[in-house]
Amino acid sequence: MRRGVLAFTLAALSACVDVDTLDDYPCPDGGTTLDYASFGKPFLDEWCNSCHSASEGHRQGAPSDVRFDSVDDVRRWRERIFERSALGNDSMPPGLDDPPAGERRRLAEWLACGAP
Amino acid sequence: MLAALLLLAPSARAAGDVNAVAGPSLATSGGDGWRGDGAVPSAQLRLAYRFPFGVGPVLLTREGYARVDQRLLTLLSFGAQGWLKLDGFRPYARVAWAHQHEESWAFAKEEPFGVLFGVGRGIRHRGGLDFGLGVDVPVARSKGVTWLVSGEAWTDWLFASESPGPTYYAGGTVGFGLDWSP
Repeated sequence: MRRGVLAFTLAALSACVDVDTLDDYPCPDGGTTLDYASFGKPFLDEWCNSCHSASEGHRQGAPSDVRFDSVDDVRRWRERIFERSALGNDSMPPGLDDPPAGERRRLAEWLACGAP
Repeated sequence: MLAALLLLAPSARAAGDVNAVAGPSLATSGGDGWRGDGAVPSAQLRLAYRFPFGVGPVLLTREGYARVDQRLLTLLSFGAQGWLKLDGFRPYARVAWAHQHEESWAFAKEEPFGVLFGVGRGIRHRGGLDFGLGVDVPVARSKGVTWLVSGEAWTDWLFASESPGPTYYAGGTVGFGLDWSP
């Protein structure tokens, strides 16, 4: 019973959470000119890594396993980063200072193309 | 806490009653360096026991969703609520200790029971106080049960936390419920 109520609640809330996903945004024909060195790392360092690459105790609540220390880490969390921060998704970062919309579009393109 | 609340009921059968109300809430959050959640929807369940003198313990839980970091919010509070008995309605006030779990939606889907028990990955814990002012309005009676509609304004002041994030939530709830005299 309790499991059923919980499942129903999560399903109902899920319907309320409207986000753009990787499936909605295919990699452009011809690929992307963005790569980790020229775009991914600078973007993450500016907007994400003060928490997501910080040591324990300084992560401001960022889950301990959600780390963006390397391009492999980013690829592991690619879908989730997209759903939080790319394109029209702006639930992260949480601060008052946000990435510009153009940067979020570039992030979407880079992630959609596999975070090369 | 719930067990203690229910165990209190038989000892005051003479005139006390159980008060239970559930309904949707809408709130907003603030008081921090985050950009703000905008509207925060939730569902609230309040369970209380009212002694004959009009005051009693109250247990309240609220489950909601906040936009920043796609957080699932789970509030548990326990405290005291007092009612006045006026002609046709019962205004009330509540103050309660509150504890809130905030977990990312993605992790909550993967580990739903972690949300319930406060042990999910990346979960934030906040402590503080819950205040409520509202009114229960009886709309029907039958065999020891008085059916109610209820409306309240509430504030959660969550001042104790190791993580950044909103320190207050303020909103309103409308609900339906009952007073039951065992």
